[in-house]
Amino acid sequence: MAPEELDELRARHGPLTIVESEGRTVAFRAMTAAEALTLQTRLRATPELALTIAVEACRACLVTLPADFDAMLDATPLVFDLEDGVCGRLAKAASDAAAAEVKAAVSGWRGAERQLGRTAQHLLAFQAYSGGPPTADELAGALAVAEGLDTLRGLFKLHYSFMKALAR
Amino acid sequence: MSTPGPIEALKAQHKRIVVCEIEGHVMVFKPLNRAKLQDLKKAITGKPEHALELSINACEFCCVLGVERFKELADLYPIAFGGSYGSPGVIDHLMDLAKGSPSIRTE
Repeated sequence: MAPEELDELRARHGPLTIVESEGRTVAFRAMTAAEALTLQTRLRATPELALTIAVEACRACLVTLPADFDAMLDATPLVFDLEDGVCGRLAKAASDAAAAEVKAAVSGWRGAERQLGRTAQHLLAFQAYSGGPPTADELAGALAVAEGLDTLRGLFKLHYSFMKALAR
Repeated sequence: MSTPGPIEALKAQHKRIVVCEIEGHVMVFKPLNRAKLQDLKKAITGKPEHALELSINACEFCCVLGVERFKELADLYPIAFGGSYGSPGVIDHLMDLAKGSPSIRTE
């Protein structure tokens, strides 16, 4: 595959995982966090179909010709497996990327304790959230709301305990 | 022009093969295809205690030369075919064929 073709695919899809085997080249876009989660769910439900599930997950991320993918799959099926294979690499990259996003969001949420403006920014982002993968600000807003609810629950429990004690 | 021997002919037919010689008897194995590989993995996941037997059966499925003595030799030397206890068998070489030696990089 010509470098220009790969550059064009990279410009369209972002970082690529490129596999070269027996004269063929196939490339895969990054797996999304949702796709990685679906993969894990399916594997937990039917572990005996691990290879089939891994191949399907790779096929969903394929950005080059399916014919090359099928030929490589026929010749060397374990290339796309979870253990040491392409699927494992794609899933790990997705998991690492998701972990990094959550870490950034938690860091932003914790840092906002001393900056009310940041808390307001997070809460406004959370309020405007309309689905899809959350940004770091939206996630930090969700954490701030969860923390607030947790505090309210704690206050309610305290109030309830006082009321019970007074009623005795 | 001399005619190719049976091993060369099988290599030309299957492109990649595993050749095994036990007690002077030569056996040749073709690669595991995707369907057989999935069946093997499914069976071993379901009954891991039967992994050795299932692996030996898979080897027999792939045997394309010398199969007439397969059962006898597999009974005498099961780990030579099914692998176990850290010793690779024919099945491990078939798995290596199924992995190939691809170059995988992310950029």
